[in-house]
Amino acid sequence: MLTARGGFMQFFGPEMGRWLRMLAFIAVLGSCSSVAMEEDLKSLVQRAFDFHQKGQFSQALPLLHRAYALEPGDYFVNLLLGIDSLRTGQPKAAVLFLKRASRLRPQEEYPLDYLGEAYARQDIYGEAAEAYIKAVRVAPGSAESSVAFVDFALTRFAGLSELLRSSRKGLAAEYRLHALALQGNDAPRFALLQRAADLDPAAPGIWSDLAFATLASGDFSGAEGYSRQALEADPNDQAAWIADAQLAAQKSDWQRAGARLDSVAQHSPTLLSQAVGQWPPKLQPPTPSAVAGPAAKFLSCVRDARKPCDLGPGSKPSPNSSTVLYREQRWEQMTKLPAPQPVRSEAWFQRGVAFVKLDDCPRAIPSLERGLSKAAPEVYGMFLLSWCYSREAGRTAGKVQQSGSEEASLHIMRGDILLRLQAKADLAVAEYQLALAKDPNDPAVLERLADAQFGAGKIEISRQNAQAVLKIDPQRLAAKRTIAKIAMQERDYATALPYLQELAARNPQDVTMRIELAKACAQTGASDEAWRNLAPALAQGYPDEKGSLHYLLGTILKKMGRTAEADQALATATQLSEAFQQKSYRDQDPDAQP
Amino acid sequence: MRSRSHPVTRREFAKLLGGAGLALSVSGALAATNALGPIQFQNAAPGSGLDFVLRNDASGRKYQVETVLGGLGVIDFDQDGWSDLYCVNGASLPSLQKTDPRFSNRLYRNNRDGTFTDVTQKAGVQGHGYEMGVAVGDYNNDGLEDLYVVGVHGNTLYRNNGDGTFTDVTQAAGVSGASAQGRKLWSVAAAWLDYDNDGHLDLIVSNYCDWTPGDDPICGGLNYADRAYCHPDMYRAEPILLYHNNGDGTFTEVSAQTGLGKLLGKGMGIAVTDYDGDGFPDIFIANDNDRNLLIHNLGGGKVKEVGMEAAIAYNGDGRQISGMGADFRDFDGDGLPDILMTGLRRETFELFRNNGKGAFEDASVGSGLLNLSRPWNGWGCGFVDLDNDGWLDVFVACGGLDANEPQPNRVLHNQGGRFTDVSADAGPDFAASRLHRGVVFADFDNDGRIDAAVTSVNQPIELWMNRSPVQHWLQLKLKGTRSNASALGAKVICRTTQHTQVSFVANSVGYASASDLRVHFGLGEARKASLEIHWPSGSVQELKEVSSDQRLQIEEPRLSAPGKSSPR
Repeated sequence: MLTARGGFMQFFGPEMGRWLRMLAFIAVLGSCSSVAMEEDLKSLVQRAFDFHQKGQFSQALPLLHRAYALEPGDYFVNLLLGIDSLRTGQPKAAVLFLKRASRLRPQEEYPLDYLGEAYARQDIYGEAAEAYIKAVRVAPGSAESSVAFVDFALTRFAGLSELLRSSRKGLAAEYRLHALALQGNDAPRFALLQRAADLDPAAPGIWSDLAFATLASGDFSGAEGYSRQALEADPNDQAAWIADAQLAAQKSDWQRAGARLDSVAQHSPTLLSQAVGQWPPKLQPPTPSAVAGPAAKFLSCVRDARKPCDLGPGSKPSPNSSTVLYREQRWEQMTKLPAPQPVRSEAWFQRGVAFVKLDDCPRAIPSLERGLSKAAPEVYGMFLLSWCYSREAGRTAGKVQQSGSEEASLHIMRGDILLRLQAKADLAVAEYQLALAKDPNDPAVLERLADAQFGAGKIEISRQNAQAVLKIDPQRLAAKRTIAKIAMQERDYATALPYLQELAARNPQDVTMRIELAKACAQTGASDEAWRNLAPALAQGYPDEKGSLHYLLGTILKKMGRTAEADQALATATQLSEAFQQKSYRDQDPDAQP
Repeated sequence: MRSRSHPVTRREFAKLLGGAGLALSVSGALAATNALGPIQFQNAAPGSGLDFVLRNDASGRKYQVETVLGGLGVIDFDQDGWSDLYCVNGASLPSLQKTDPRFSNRLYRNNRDGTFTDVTQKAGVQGHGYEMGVAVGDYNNDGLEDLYVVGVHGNTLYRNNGDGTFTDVTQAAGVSGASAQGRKLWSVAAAWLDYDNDGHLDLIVSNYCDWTPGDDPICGGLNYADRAYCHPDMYRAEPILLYHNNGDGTFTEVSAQTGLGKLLGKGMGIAVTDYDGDGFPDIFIANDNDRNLLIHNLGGGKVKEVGMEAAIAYNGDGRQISGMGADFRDFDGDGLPDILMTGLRRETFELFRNNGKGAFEDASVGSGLLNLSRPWNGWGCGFVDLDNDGWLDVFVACGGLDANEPQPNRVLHNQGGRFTDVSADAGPDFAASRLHRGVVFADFDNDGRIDAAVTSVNQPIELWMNRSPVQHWLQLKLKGTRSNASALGAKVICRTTQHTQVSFVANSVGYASASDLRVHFGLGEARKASLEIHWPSGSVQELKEVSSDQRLQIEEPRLSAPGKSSPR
């Protein structure tokens, strides 16, 4: 299961049980039109629900199908059919019933929550995201929907992060994400962006990011260089135009500044409006008449700290193709195009990028997911998705927390945010413990707790909890991952090995897991298996900035008797190590060179 | 304190040390009363006159240099047979100048009664800048131990004049610590060694990051409350420096000529020993978040970095960690020196076992060190036989990077190659949590038990007097004649009926610090031992039937043939 929310979905804690009991009661009383049918439907649904409550979903299903035959338009029958199909490993079938339930009651969040899960189980993330986001939108006060979305978003965030970290370009995107997450204009932010640019100089927008970081630090000559690089990389880079306008204004060249700002307003007024906060308030023309049109409006917004800044009417639909609009960064016009056909992944990707640029992550996420190739996902798409998922998870969680509710699911969500987004394992432990107090045997919470305890360095209790999870449900992969991590940390490679083998087999795309498997194999004498897992990953560009993985490869090859290749790998390790040691935060400052 | 109850006057001590091979007997009755019990310490610094406070001048800006200072050195500068102590200090920031006397380095003379006297002013060794570490050795073979103090953008060589004063001879000697291009470096540690066995001590210097206060980046956040120390990955690494002693009071930087080239590292602790038994000292340098270095001495004045081939470049599971302190001794009794390296919390300390084939194996798990070390930020460290049972225990100075993470020191007892954390039983005041940094080991009260002095950031120095139950021991102070006078690099084999131990004269121990030059052997219940000394010159000296519980000063035979002598 992709989402880890099976705790309350699969095992129905007291809150959910209460809700379903009420649902069933309403269903039985309110949905039947004739006496005979009422008797039949009532009895069928009641019996089905009894099975359902006991977790005997497969016994419930035949009864529900009979009820469906009697009343195919019944909301509750469809909802229960969807849930129980999902629980019996039929997510595809579940989708049909849940979609119907959702159509019958479009303002209900429950079918959408389960629909999201059903799609996610099939790795159809675009539809899953849309369902989860819609659930939050139709029931903004529903803690469960918010928790479900946050859980989904964080799980995707973690999955994307693993994928990103398995390539050089992906690692660049990870650095860039870290830079975006940093508040203020500090040097680490710049250093991270610089590292990202080193690793992937062709990443869209990376040079304009650097231009803004240097502008914020007051290094105008540095910013000019980056702005130039940005425009060389993409002459239509609107962010670079704004940076260029600011640089022109710094030199009192208001004619150029105004022209640049007007051009941005023509391409994407929203993008320019977002730049209000990035423009120094005191950077204003000497006379108001020096700048006119949208540029003047923009500068007036800057002066008055007015956000959002209304820069005139939105652009009209364009006759141009999405490719042209994308290239010219006419984001508003792109989003006004009809939604692409499902198979047109590139068009979905471009649409997703447009929504991100317009700061509309809820609409960007499904589009980007649909645009992401499963075989070879585009790094830039994953980068934008990660950014949107983390932001929307944070926003949604923030809204729910303001409600002051103390439900277990809220503690889980808080814990997830703390653990997976903010890396505050100690605080996550406390949240999960509060959730667990309400349902001590919920394996989904217990495995989260074990993971958080591992992160907090409480190894023994983490191990105990992870083992307890597997006693309740031997299939829980997160618990297995925690046990594997503990064993690897303790260099107990023999214990880690079977867990790593299973985890790697379950998800062959998880290169990080294969690297761990390679380490365990190397240490347990399984050199061939170690090599099979490590060598392809390195050949495909798995990041090894300091050379330690090439060193490992060298030692493996040596044990295999492949001395020449081993020497080559060790030489590469040394080169990587030395290259990394020569990097510095000052690399862009020629005066600082030794 | 035993030295109080059994005082030896300075005159008596000097008389006893008057000739090579003379022994100073300490009451055998004391050794006879041994009753095994826990390793125990008492902090004797308060009231002893040791009033040193390690000042980093942190004010919230979080300059990178603030976290990594704290070296200290054991030196018997007045040759009275009692270990004196030199403490290295920080300076004002961002000027890097010792603008205030509180930043002064300090030299404390051991008064031989459990107290110390600050003789810094007379000695003239206050230091010059933001300093980090110190190496102790007799570089000019005049019988007097000298000081080489390293720090940020400038190192200082203090020649011991023999009259309680020192002279700064840095410029004349050519050991200012600048790069080949004349750029000032940030040195953390240094060690004396005679890498070419020509009888003159050479110098290895580990340098850290390319850093200046003017453009140190701000990490964590713009507000002071959010600030954090930057990760070392942000800085360019610096080259290792190797100085060859020309024998005339000057040195030549020979990294390129010897084969080191421009070997980079974020170098921290240095440990020196001959790990492959070829008679030439090798060098281990712990690196902070970069691969560790093992500089294999090929002989003939050539060296080669072999960290990867020897399997010590990365830790036991193949990662680079925040390597800090280091020591290089035989912890498992197989006669081969092994490597101990400390790291920061949750990285674990590392133990690399010498396999006798030119490489090392991960011994962190098997020795128990892995899990014992996980919670601790380790800095200074050392393999040291604290209970005289013949097995080298581990002492680690612990403390986080920043003021919010003080930690107590750790003592790990070695039982046949497996460690147990016995810190909880080490005494009521041993649990003091501070930002500990450097540690040096010496028998400050000459009672046959190794004590430890530990610095802590912005806190008074600790002097941990060893109060463990007494067992038998031997201490050797070697004096080279054809070898370097400090005898650095000499190998000593100590055999009793129960145990054979191999040790080296190696005082670069732990983090940026220099421990006592004396070689200490715990003998357990044995009352006799035979000694075999392999001098760096190649001569071998044997001493049979040496009685336990004494300090010997042994001079290298001046004859070139292997010599045999017995203590008188």
